[in-house]
Amino acid sequence: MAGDVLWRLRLPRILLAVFTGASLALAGLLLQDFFRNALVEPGLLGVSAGAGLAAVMVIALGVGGLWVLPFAAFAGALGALALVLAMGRRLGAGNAELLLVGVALNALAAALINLLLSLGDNTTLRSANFWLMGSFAQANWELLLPSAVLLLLTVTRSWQHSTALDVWQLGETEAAHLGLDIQRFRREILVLASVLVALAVAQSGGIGFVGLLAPHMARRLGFVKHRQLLPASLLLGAMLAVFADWLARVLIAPLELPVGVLTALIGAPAFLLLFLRRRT
Amino acid sequence: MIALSGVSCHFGAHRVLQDITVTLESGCIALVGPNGAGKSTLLRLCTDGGRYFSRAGITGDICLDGSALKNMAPDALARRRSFLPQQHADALRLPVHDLLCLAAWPHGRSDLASATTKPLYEQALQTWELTSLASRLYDELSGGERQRVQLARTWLQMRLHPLAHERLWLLDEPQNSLDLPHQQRLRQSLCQEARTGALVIFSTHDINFALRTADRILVLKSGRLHAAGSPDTIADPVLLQDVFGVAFDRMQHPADGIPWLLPH
Repeated sequence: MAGDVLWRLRLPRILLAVFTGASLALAGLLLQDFFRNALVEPGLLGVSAGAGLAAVMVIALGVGGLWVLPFAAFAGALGALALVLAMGRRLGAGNAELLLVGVALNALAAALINLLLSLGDNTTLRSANFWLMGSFAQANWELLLPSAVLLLLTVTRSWQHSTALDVWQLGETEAAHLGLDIQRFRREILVLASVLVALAVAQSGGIGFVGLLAPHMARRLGFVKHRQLLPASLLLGAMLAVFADWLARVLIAPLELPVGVLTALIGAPAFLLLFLRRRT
Repeated sequence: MIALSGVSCHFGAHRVLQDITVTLESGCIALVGPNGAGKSTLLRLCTDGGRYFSRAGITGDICLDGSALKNMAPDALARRRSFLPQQHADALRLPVHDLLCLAAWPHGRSDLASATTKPLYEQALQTWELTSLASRLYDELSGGERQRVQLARTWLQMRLHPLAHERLWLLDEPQNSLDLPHQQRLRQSLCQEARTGALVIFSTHDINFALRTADRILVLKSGRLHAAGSPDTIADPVLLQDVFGVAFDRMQHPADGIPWLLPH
């Protein structure tokens, strides 16, 4: 009986937290590198907003089934990515332009989500809100396996780019002069980061701050090369998510808090602390 | 090695280079000219054909050993050519050692520890006096130290190419932030590479540095190639006053007899 609970509930839940935390942390690292800006977090591109919009639409329509919500969210995320890439190309694909597209997409998706929520009934509102605030409670083996494969693929590809990511820090043109095919690199990093965000959001909803905090913690620990930053961020992201989920379960047990609330509750002060400590 | 014929470049309505035709085989070439004369743009065109300029209109042909530079694969180009830009990303948090190892990346290496590359790495540290800085973080270095790191990085990238006569080293104002002893080291390094067969092209605002370092000087004025020739022919007060709007006296350096220009 106890073994059954462990196998059916606890273990998948912990694994989902690990996957989600690791995905968000790596996405955060890739995007912070890509924009050479430490303030960038995975939500900035509008990809998670796209996922959120698709998820809320499914909830509002009342479509059920194990695979429907995560798949809709995943499709929403990739749809947002396609939009960002297409708009970026039209605008000249500069980094500032990409961020502007992301900001606009975020605003648009947030407005549409609010519209759906204000039109929906109470049940819709509650379950959509629960999803938007993030949770690992829906973890199950059927969804964990494909996402493990996808995570492994994206992590491997990112690892292959680790020296290129170091080179990229010299500056875009300098990286090109060191032989990096910058157009292809930019596209690949954007796709990798978006798939990672989609992976996290599709199963766990809106989990904030892990993607911002984990790469910062890795840097604060003194890691500078991507051969070290990559694994460190993955590990820290996973640990943060598991810890937040444990708190979410025990703080007001037997009731449960949305884990996204906790990641932000822990993450925001921790983030500020990192900066305050750096000053002294 | 590099042949430009009828090369013009404009950004919008602003013409930066007009009808540049010149062939550069080997040796040490200095680019001089007032601010905005087109020195940096010309260097960039020789580096990558201008392919990363946004909204630039480039006409004419730029060829490296007979093939169009802008069509060459970036990785193949990076194995024989390195470029020192005028400005560097300053938020770069890497130890000097790891930063220098990035020079080996286009050559398919992730470090400089092998038997063939280690002596070069040691030489780079010595030439640019970086031995004591090797484990320091780049973003914690002074401006002059950063410049030395970047010089060492581009030197290594170019030197890792096995064929001396195919090496191409381009430097945009390499003297920036360097103190006098390191400017001397820079001069020796530029001359040394040119002597072994590489093509070295650098821009400078220091006419005397150009006279003492280069085999050939290109004078740019308002985007045009105003004059080109040996240091002796370029050290002409009339020519230089026409370009810079400053009067010069031509002297001889007491130690080696090389022309020395004194502005007044």
